[in-house]
This record gives sequence, structure tokens and C-alpha cells, in this order.
Amino acid sequence: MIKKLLAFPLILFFFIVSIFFYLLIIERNPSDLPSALIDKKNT
Amino acid sequence: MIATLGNFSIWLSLLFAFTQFVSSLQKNNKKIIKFNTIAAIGLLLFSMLSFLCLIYSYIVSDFSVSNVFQNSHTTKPLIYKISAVWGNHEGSMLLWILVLAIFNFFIFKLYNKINFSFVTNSLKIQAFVTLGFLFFTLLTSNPFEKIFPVPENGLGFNPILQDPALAIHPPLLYIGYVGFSAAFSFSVAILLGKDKKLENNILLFDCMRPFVLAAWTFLTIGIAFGSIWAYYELGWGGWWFWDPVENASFMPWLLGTALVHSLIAVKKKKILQKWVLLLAILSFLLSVIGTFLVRSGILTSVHAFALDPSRGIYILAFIAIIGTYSLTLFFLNSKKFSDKKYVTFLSREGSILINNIIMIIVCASVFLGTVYPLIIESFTGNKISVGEPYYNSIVVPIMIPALIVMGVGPLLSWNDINFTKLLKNSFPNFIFVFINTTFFVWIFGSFNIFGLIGIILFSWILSNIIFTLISNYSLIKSLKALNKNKIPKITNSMLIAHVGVALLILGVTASSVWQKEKIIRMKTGESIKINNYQVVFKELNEIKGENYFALQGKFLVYDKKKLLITELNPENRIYPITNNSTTEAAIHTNLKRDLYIVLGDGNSDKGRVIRIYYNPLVIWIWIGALLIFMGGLISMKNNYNPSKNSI
Repeated sequence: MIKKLLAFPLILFFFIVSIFFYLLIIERNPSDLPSALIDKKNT
Repeated sequence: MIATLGNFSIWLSLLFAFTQFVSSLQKNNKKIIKFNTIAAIGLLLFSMLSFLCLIYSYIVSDFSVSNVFQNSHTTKPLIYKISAVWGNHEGSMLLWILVLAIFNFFIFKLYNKINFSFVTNSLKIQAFVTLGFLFFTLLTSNPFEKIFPVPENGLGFNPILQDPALAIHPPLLYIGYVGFSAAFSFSVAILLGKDKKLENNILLFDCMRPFVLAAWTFLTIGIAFGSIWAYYELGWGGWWFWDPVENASFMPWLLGTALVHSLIAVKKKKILQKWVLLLAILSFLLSVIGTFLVRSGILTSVHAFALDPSRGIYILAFIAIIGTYSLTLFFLNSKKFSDKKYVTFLSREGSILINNIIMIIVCASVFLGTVYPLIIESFTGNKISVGEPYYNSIVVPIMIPALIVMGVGPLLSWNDINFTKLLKNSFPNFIFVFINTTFFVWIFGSFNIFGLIGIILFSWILSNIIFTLISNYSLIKSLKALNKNKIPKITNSMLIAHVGVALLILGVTASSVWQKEKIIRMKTGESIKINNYQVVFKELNEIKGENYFALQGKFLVYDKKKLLITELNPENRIYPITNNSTTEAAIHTNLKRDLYIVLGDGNSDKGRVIRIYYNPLVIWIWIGALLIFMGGLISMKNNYNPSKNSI
């Protein structure tokens, strides 16, 4: 059980890196993401 | 010529980093020592030389260097010509490398006969990390790239970055981020070690402590300077906005806080070694992930300064390599560091463990909030944002128990403590908390549940420090009578840092809960009342600065006795070179409050939009951060013990 728990950071790490990698290779415009702060700045 | 020398120096740094990496793989101890001495010194000297060359190129406005052309201009004041070196992506990577080389050198200075293989392994990992960043800089972000024909002048520098606080904010922050690379290298080196003797391993953890303290201390003051900058430059009256860039620095800081305290438990009670190894790895990974988020263009942010997916791929590949290697090593080798000791709830180690768990939860919540829009986008294609309400409703309630425990920690002993005895010991604290809280609530004159909790926490931490100081004073007095050398120094740093945290809580609470805001349209000659002050919009003038034009408002502030307190001059600046405009808030500060005025859009007929804030006790946030920094510096000095005869 403890051994399995030790693998948890590694699994989580792979999950996060995979998402980052996917978002880097697809066509997307990051400025499409709504940003509360940028909206605030523009008002 | 100088730019060529700078470029050549980066290549030489690469050569020395490679030498250190390869020599650390050798079996012959004499060869390792010989080559690592040359490599560590060479890497430090040449990375410093390349950085100085870039500074020189900026000072003399050498526009044949693309980086100088992109980020500077002859009309720029000298201080901002220099700060522009690290105010852009390429130059900041060079600074990153220099800080890596400095930490590498300090690791090298730890060499002695006992820790030989451990320091060698640490230098190997440090060299690998440095190589990664050197390759990244040379392949994708070379600051010495030339352009031809040479332009007559540069494109200028982002005006909102032309600020004294922001001139020193990045170097401090990078010392923090990069400092965790040393903790990372030590952690991996410990995991690679073959020595199973607990006592020997504890000594290795001791080596990690000054580096973690350095990283955490400089990260703290770096974040504070960033916050000060955001406070007066962005013109929104606040000092923290949960922007992805802010979160990127806050997450390693949280883990660093847990790490600093866990290392004390390792030393005193020989527990939590496995936990420390994981925290050290994660702190550095989060620092690099933060860099990735800011520089890859994967997220939008108000102050993300480099957006380039090709660079993102490189950093991500590097994160994948070091993350997979270190976490796999942790998975395979950390079992030997299991201590199988139980931690008592009411003990100092218990309080450290509880704080650790809370810091991890807060860090995970901030991380989730930062990457959640990305997770949702990759699975559903929907675009959402996570704003201040999420962070405030999650982070603030979780931090409250952490701060209660922080207050009680110094009262507890390293072993089990009797609850009745603890209550009895804490009785004077309860009285102090009651009196202090009543006083502050009376001063502010209005009741607010979050305000009350904040003031109680501030009083609680402060009271515990005061009573610890009193008991320490009696202890020191009796120790002095016996033997001068046994006077404890380390607790002083802890007390100073904890006073800093208490003041920080006071400032954060008061400025968030009791802030007053007025947003109105005003014409010259009109006035408005905020708290006990009368603010008169006297006139509006056009002024010319060194590299900008501005509209400057003249506001006179009177107190309730109609005495003039101050004149405030907020500005709207236009920088013709970069065609940017900025808002410069005007702030009058004293120990009790800030009066903060921002000049908005408008004209003489309809008036201008004016934002006025009354922010109580803001200055205590910065004083608190400064005290934490000082406490950290003292602790660093007490904990760093390089070998007298290093080899």
C-alpha cells in the first residue's frame, strides 16, 4: 500500500505533463482563455 | 566585440558544466576533485562574465545585439537599461544560469572527506540542470544574437516594467527558484546514496538546510517586491491578484515553507526524511513548471513576458526528464528512509507535521486553480477562468488552522506535552490575545468576522513570541551564568521570522477587510471625503519626464481639522517610443494607513474618473516580509558550514 502511495506523485506528474504537452501541440490561442485580471485591467 | 565575448563565455560555461557532469561520473576520487574544482570555478566565472557582457551591451546601447535592440532605447534612464537585462526572456535566462552557477559553487564548497560521494552526486545533478538551461539558452533564447544592419535606436522597454521595485524583483525571485535546484540536487544525491546508516544520512540533510533557507528567504522578499510593484503600478488598490505568474511563485514558496520546517524536525527528531526528499524535489519542479507556465504561452497573464510554444516544448521536455528521473528514484529508493516513528499531536514535531499537511493542501489548491482552465480545455474544449473568489474561499479558511498551529508551535517541546500543562502555559497568551484583539476592533470601529479572526491570529502569534522571548531571556540568563557558548542563536531567527508573519497577517487582514474605496468622476476644484480625509482635486497639468509625457493630477488631502496632510500627484503616462501608456498611482503612506489615488480617463468637461482608496496598515505587510527575510538571512548564516579546507 505504502509502495503504491509513493508512486502517486509520479502518476500525477505524468498526467500534468501530458496535459501541458497536448496543449502545446494543438492549435490554440491562449488569449482566448478568459482572464479575470486582464478583463479588470481593461476596464 | 563584447557581445561576441559574452556569447563565447556561455559556450565556455557549457563546457565547464559538461566537465563537471562527466568528472562526477568518474570512479577516481583525485580526478573528480581536480576536475570539479576547475569546473565549479570556471562555470561561475564565465557565466558571470557573459552576464556582465550583456549588462555592458545594454549600458552602451549596442543595438547590433538583437536583445538590446528589442528591449532598450538610448533615452532610457541607466537603472532601467540595467534592469532591462533581466526584464526580458533571454536575459533572464542568463541570470538564471548565473544563479545556478553561484549555488553550484556553494555546493562545491561543502566538500569534505565524509560527504565526498554525496557532494559529488549533488554536483552531478546540479551540472545536469545547468546544462539543460545552458542548452535551452543557446538553442532557443540566445541573448547575444546579432542583427544586421545595425539599427540607430532600440524599440524601448515595456514601461510598466520601468520601476525600482521591479528592477530588483526578478533577481531576488530567481535566487529563490534556483535555490531549490540545490535542494533538488541534494535530494536526488541522498536517494542515490548507498549509506544506510541513519546518523550519516542526517548529516546530509543538514547540508540541504542553508540552501533551502536561502531559496525560501529570497523567494519571500522577491514575492514581496513583486507585490509592492503590483500595488502601486497596476493601480487597482490591491497587492495580490492570484494571477498565474503570482501563483507560479507562491506554490514553491508554500512547499519551501514546509521544507524549511521539516528539515528542523529531521535534525532534532530524525523523522520526516522521506517527506523532506519529496518536498525538495517538488519545490524545484514547481519552480520550473512556473517558469514553463510564464514563458510557454500556455496561459495568459498580465505579466507573462515571453510567449513562445517552441520554447515551451523544450522546457516541458526538460521538466519531463528531471521530473521522471527524480520521482522514479523517489519511488524506488525512498523506502530506506522510512523512520516508523509516531509523531505526537501535541509536540513541536506534531505542529510541524500539521503545518506541512496544510501547506501541501494549500499548494495543491492553488495549483488546481492555476491549471484547472487548462485541464477543462484539454478535455472539453471549453474555456473557463478561475478567479479571486475561488482562491479566497479555499486558501483563506485552510490557512487559518496553519496560523493557529504556527502560533502554538514555539510553546511546545520536542516531546509529548501534557494538554493541561499547555493550557496553563498559554493562559497569559489568551489574556494578551483578548486585550489586543479588543484594542484593534475598537480602533477600526466596525465588526467583521474575517477581520476578527485575522486580528486574533496576529495577536496569538505575537503573544507566543513575546512569552517565548521572556522565557528565552530567563534561559539565556541562566546559561550565561554557566557557559557563554551554549546560548541558542537559531531560535532568534525563528522568532524574527514569526514576528514578520504576525505583522503580515495584520497588514493583510486590515487592508483587505477595512479597505475603503471611492470611484467617482471629478472635475478640478471638486472634493470628496474618504474616511476622515477630505481630498480636493486642485488641478491637472501636462508634464514631460525623461522618456515619457504625462498628465499629472494635483490632489490636496486635508484631515478632519482641515489641516493639509499631503499633496498627491497621480499620473497617466505615455511612452512615445513604445507607444504604451501606464497609470502611476500616488500614495501617501504612514504606519496607520495608505491614501491611494489613481487618475483615470475623462476630459475637462465631464471630469475624470478618480479612484481613491483608504488602505489601513498596508505598510505592515512589507515590514512583515522584511522581517521574514531578515530571520531567514540570520538562519542561513547560522546553518551554512563550508569545509575549512574544502578538499
